[in-house]
Amino acid sequence: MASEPVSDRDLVNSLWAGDTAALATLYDRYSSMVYTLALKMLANPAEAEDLTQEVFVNFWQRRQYNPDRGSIGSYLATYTRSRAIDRLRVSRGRATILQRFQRITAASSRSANPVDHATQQEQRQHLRAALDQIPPAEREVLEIAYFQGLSQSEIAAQLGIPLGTVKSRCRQGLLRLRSLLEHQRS
Amino acid sequence: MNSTPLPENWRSLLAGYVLNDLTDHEATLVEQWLDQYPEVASELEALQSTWESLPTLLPPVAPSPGVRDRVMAAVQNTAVQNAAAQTPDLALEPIPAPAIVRRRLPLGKLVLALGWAATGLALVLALQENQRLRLALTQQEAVVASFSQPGNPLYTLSGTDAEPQASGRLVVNPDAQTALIVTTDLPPLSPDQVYRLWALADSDPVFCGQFNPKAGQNTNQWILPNAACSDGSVQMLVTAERAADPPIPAGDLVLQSRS
Repeated sequence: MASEPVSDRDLVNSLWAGDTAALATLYDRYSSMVYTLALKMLANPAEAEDLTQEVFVNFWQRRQYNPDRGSIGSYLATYTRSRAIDRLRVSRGRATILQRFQRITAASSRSANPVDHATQQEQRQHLRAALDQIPPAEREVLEIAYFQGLSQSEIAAQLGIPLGTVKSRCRQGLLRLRSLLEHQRS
Repeated sequence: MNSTPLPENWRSLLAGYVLNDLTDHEATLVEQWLDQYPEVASELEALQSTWESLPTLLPPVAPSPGVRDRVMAAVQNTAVQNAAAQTPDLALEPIPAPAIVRRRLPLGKLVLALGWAATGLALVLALQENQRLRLALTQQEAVVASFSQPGNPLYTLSGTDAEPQASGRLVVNPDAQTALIVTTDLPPLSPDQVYRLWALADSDPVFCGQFNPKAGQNTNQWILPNAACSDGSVQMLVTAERAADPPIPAGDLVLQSRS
């Protein structure tokens, strides 16, 4: 008889109690999500792997995650995005100097992990369907804000539209998305 | 009793709160509502959850298996160091050999053990090359892991067009002002040449030391010549230079980190 998988909460409790093997299980569950987001934002496999390592080592080292305040997946995604944005800001600041050295290497991607949960696929399909239903202009600013980590004023400059327009599109897009996802769930 | 009624655009402000585009005054208002209105808390949670679900849009991509090994090596190494730091007496005193090891073996068992040892030796010899490579890799990871403490910048270095097969890992210890580089497939240079490490921030590259690997796989460590080299926000570059040249990058770029 197959045993029930250990819950994330139990794994985190074991990890905090000193069982570092629990981190390996958490890594197996969430490393694809972390790496995928890092790769999308940084567009460089080596950099994305570095960030993935940093995220999991810091998760263990800092112990800031509290299971009562949200899922571990959400925590890791938020932390990964935040650290990726830090790296992107540093990279953008030196872009002109880099031209003296830079040899751009095309980001290559490995094949998808076949063991990803069906629920994640389902969630992705729901989200994609909802995103497809919101106006493209709202979708565009939301995706830029999330995956490129640009501020609204940076998005306004990039797209050549007023800051107020970016702000209203972002908010409207998020509200619409939230509403559509709720409809799908119900 | 609710002291501040919700305005019509309260949902928009909640979206702004999640998107981090509110003024300080607006953010304070939202935080006040959280205490006063349960519907605000649940709506904010739903919006936050929606925003945080965006990564699930991406088709999943797995990192290479080496990342898992590096994570676990760094964690286990730090855990061991922490344990040693917490029990300094144990860490400093030599560990006595367990009594069972000193027990004499009967002759028959000794012969049997020797037989097994010979078999084991033959196996070791047969697998020597494979083991040597694996051991070298493990040792390198252990060395890198021993430097990979929180706060010590760690860089993965990729080969450029000049040395596409080369790679490396660089760890900087800001406290000790030292750098450790582990290179793979970076060819040794002639004695009048060196590889130089540069930190690239928002100005000209800063010279961070030099090395010349003795074999295809090597580890080098040195004292950093400039504190700017240990700033974790720099990009690291390695160029091949003539040893007699002044510390200004002029040769081929052979390795680089992304940040």
